[in-house]
Amino acid sequence: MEELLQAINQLPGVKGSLIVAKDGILVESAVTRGIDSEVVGAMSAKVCKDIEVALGKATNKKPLSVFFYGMYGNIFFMAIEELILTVVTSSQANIGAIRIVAMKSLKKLIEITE
Amino acid sequence: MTSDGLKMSGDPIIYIELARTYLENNDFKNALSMCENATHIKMSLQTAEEAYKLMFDILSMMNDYKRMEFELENIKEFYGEELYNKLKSYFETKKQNVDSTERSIDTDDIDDDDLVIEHSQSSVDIVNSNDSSQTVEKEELDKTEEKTDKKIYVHHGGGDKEKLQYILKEMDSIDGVIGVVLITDEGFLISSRMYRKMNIDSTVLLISGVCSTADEAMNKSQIGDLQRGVIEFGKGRIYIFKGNGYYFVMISDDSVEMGLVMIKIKKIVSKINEVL
Repeated sequence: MEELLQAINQLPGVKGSLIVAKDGILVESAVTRGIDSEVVGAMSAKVCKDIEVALGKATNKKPLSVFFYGMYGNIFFMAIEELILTVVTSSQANIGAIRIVAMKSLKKLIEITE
Repeated sequence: MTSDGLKMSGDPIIYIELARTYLENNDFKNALSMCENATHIKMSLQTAEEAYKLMFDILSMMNDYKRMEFELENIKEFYGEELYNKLKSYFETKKQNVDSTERSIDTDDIDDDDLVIEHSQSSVDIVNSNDSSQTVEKEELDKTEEKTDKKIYVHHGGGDKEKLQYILKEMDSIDGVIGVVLITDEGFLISSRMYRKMNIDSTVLLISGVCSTADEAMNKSQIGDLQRGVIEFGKGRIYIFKGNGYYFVMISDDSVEMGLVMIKIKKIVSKINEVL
């Protein structure tokens, strides 16, 4: 898991990445100073849960992707099955590229955990 | 047996459901007839309330307030004061909503089309229509529009609604858009424009919850306030743009080009900023 996160963190503009369970528990994190991984992880889990409640179904089979663009950076996360992969980036980061890498990493992650 | 070949039932619930179906298809006459069938059957207070509320919805769309008053008298006689009082307040709310909306529609400069009012519990749905006494097929809103067969459900929570609707109308030209919603930071509805009938309250609730959670987490992580967001799930997408004290939200299916939408929304948000 750590290797996967490190691979994501090497992409330009990435400040850190973390893996959380859908219940909000932090599984693994590799973030730079200034980012509260607990808070970001909890937010990812809560948003994921809110959406699942609103849709009336779990997002187990098809991934849920969320991009939040802030003033000084972005948060991107993907949820599939019981895991959420969250990436925190600077505002200049290429979200499209990060999304592709994150998707691949998430698939690998699921293989690992199975 | 009805003219539709349906076996007549002694269960009022079936008639209520049939009435709802007719209502959804804007067949007010048959919807009313089904409601009448339901109210002719002896039923519990709860079912009676449901049946009469539905009947009032239909009658208010037909602008038949005299009939509603007549029915209220029947309710008082057959079901007693309790249900009468409940339905009377329901009737009065509906009448007030329609009166106030009709007054504002007089000055409506969205289009020349007639407007007909649909009711929901907390807001008023305005549906552009060809026929002032019925609903609902949307005609061309202006010459530049290409979509002609869409139902449009418009909800208002406040604000300069004519101008807002005029701005939101720009999203009509994008295929795959399911609806646009404007909500305040606190989660109150400002205005919306839906191309499919959906529960606006739950949509507003979801967006306000997601936005406040994201805002909080982003501030704590020194990323700054939430500016915009995209949520992709299954075959749908939700675009969120933050304006001055409000969120512009667009719901679409996955066929919509994300880049095109982003550009369009940015333009629209700058226009909304001028109005709000």
